[in-house]
Amino acid sequence: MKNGPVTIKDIARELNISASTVSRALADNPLVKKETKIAVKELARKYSYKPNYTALSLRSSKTSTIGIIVPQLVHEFFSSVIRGIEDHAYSNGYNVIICSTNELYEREVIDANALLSGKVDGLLACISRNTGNFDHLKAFQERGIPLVFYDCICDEIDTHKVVIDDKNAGYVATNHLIDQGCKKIAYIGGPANLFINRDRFEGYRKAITDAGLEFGGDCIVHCDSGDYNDGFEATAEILEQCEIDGIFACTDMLAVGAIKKLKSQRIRVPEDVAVVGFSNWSISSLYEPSITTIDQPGYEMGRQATEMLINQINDPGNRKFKICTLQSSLIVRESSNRLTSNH
Amino acid sequence: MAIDKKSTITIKDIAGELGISASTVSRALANSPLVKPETREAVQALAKKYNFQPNYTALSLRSNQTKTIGVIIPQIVHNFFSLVIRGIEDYSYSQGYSVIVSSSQEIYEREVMDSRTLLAGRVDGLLACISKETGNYDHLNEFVDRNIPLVLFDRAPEKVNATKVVIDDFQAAYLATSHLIEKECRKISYIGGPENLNIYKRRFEGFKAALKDQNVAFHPEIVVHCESEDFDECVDATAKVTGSTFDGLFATTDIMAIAAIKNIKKKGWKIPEDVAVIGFSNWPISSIYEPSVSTIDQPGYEMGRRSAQLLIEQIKDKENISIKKDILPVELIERESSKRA
Repeated sequence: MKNGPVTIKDIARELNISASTVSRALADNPLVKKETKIAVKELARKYSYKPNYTALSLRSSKTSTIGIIVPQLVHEFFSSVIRGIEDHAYSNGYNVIICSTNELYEREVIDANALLSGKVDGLLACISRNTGNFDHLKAFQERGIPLVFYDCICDEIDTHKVVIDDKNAGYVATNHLIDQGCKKIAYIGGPANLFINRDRFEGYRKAITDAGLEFGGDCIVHCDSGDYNDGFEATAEILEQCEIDGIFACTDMLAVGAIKKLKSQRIRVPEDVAVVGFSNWSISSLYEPSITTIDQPGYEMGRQATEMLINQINDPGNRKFKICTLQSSLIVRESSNRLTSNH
Repeated sequence: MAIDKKSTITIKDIAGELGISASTVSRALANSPLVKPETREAVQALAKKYNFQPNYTALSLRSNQTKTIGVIIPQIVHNFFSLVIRGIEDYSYSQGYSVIVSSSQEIYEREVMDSRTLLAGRVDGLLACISKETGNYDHLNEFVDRNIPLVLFDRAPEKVNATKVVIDDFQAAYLATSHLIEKECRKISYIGGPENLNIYKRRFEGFKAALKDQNVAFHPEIVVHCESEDFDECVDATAKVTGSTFDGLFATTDIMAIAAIKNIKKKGWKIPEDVAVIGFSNWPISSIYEPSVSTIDQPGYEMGRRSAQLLIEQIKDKENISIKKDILPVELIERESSKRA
């Protein structure tokens, strides 16, 4: 056994896992398997592991801090992004402070100023859908404070960016329904002016066209919100106008509403109509039937953005900026799995 | 005017050298957008040159505000806490304050670091919910000592003398249990959370008290305390109780209620006819699930709003801070899972 205090790296080496896994296990991150968490905590207790906080406040008397601007906190996707940021930041010696804007441009400006005044060492930003002017963010670059955009990015500012390919995700979701034998696939979307909705719809359209299927205007509905009631109403409308055998709903909540409507008319899911949602909110695994969905790499987005930011903080002269595009993955569940459902 | 580098520089000295007011210097150091960039740069250059250190006590007494409120919270990725934050934000922004949030992830040392970061960020006030590990409160008392207003919410330890906004977990559990008894339940299963957390201890006490007061027997064989709030773990834990029969079930989170319901359905029992079920917290899933789950609504948003309101009152009138304890009412929401004729 080595001399001196035990570090995260020592525990990682002993268990043959990565240092970030050890860090996450100690922070009770739900993504870490239970057995791993138990093993890590057991070792930490056995060796009286204490986090090394002097490492965290290196040269300056102030702890290094990363600021985050996020549109929403009451939101499963953004909260997973934040978790990814926090884990990576903390295991690299950075504290994290967060401002959420509730999609309001004015709040975003106030928040940006607050973080600038708070003297953060770097900024991670996802802009609100209402932000058109970016002076409040350019101010960071002007002061030599690195910033990285994630998800909703700003084209005017040259820096690192991390995005998700929503168009491909829409394509994959729709193709899955086609693979299950669906020929008449309806689309239920959120407000048509939002980028994400537009991209997912583009993916849907391309999949339909590539498979040589038709799609008609009456089996496409855009809702005002992503609420499950909207999904219910949209499905009612669609059922009156078309014969369908599949539905791609652009969020899991809309998918829940759609399935509720189908159930109320004794239409079997997935046998008569197969359904796919999007985002992998916890409702999608708990609902009955469990809902096939697209899992977006929120945690990975947070982690990746933070890594790029920390690299920038450590090497401010490096102006080789990248746009990192992440892919989502399909999670097949009961609502579209015709191959294993009973007839 | 030459200034000796070794002496302690004040805001007044910098103001004098640049021929501007002390408040302008203060604002410039706080990066206020109200100050012209050239002025800001000049002030900050001088401050750096003379190694100026802000005097925090002086700053707070002079009510030189940043118009920012700091929040320390155990988790952000959490239905209840994210609502509390929203309540804090909506109220604070409406009063002209921005909100900076830091999470401790239930780790005491992180909470201490967070508090130092917020102190260094010169927040005008702090709202805090302590981590489950926190037993020493010096880092919070630092704010009190510097006359920076502090309001605690949800978990509010006795040892800190500050205003608190909480709910009465004992009373809430008593209410939920009484609801089941009112629905004719006479053998009630209890699914609790980690026993080391005070909220779950109090809910368990409330459950037992309601049974006792209404002469319903307590059955320890159908009581389970889950080690975490994770869904899969709760499914395993609740599977244990379905070995016995019971006619009512009180789960101390909605996720636990749904985990239990899945096990109950596997046994072929009907809800609410065979077993009436009530959960706790009113997460969105409780109204969406089938059967919709009765629950206790915890006023998360209201807790945030009220905490921010009390804090801003204190910020505006620091000389007259009175310590308060607000206990927010909870609401019983009856849904399909306990709707018996």
